[in-house]
Amino acid sequence: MSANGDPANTAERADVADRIRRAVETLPAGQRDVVELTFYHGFAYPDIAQILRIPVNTVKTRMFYARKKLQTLLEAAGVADES
Amino acid sequence: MNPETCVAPERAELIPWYINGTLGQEERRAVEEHLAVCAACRQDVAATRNLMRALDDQSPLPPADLYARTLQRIRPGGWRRLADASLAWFMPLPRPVRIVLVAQTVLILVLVASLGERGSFTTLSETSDRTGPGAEIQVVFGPQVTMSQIQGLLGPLGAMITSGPSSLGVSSVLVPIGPGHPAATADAALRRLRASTLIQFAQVIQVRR
Repeated sequence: MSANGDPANTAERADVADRIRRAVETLPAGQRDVVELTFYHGFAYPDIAQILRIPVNTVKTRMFYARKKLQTLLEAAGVADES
Repeated sequence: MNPETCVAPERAELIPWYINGTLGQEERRAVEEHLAVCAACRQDVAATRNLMRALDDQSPLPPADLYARTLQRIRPGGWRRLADASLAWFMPLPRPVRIVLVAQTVLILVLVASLGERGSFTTLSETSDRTGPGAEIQVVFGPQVTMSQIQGLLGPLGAMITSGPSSLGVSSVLVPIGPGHPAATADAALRRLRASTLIQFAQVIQVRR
């Protein structure tokens, strides 16, 4: 059985995803909007700036701090070194 | 993520959109050239892909290509195909039958129109309610949402669409707030909208007093 098909592996990934998901929900609203529009909805950053009516540099800054926080959680979960 | 240890942070900050595939050709090439020489950013790309994968694993929201598929669906050719499909049952009928059906349809429309003549109506250019107080909220409705579902969602809130959807699928909705309205505050209105499965995204833009 492949690693992806291993029930234990699948459960672990689901657990990590659940923690990340909850971490996204704890982000400040402005950062959460940028993360969701980028990773869930697949918008380009100029489009996100237009939707949220904020400068493009603000979009980038919000993403920077959001990723910093989320990445800390990923590293704590032990998945940051996967590729 | 390592933009702080990267010598070209203006490239590093584009990595999320490099990964979601929305960078323009020039920016994408610039990021790729930078990745070739920056180990910190290569590590950042791997980490961000892990982040995106982890989010995808449990995301109840639509996939990342929703926007492209939505645009594809609303392009003019799509309407023509829809019209052709809708008439597929009609054209094979014998000509006399088609004539009778068309005549009956016209008659029904005339009767319905005459019944509605005495009802109240508002013109499309009527704008008095659109400038009233309330929370202006930008929303993105789901791809399968129908007009009646939108009316069922906005009606109880006394809300109305004031503009849109834009080319990005974003509509502006004005929700009356305050005493006597279903939503007392802008936050309450936003929570009501976000709680609906019909809406993919909602954000308060301004509160009109």
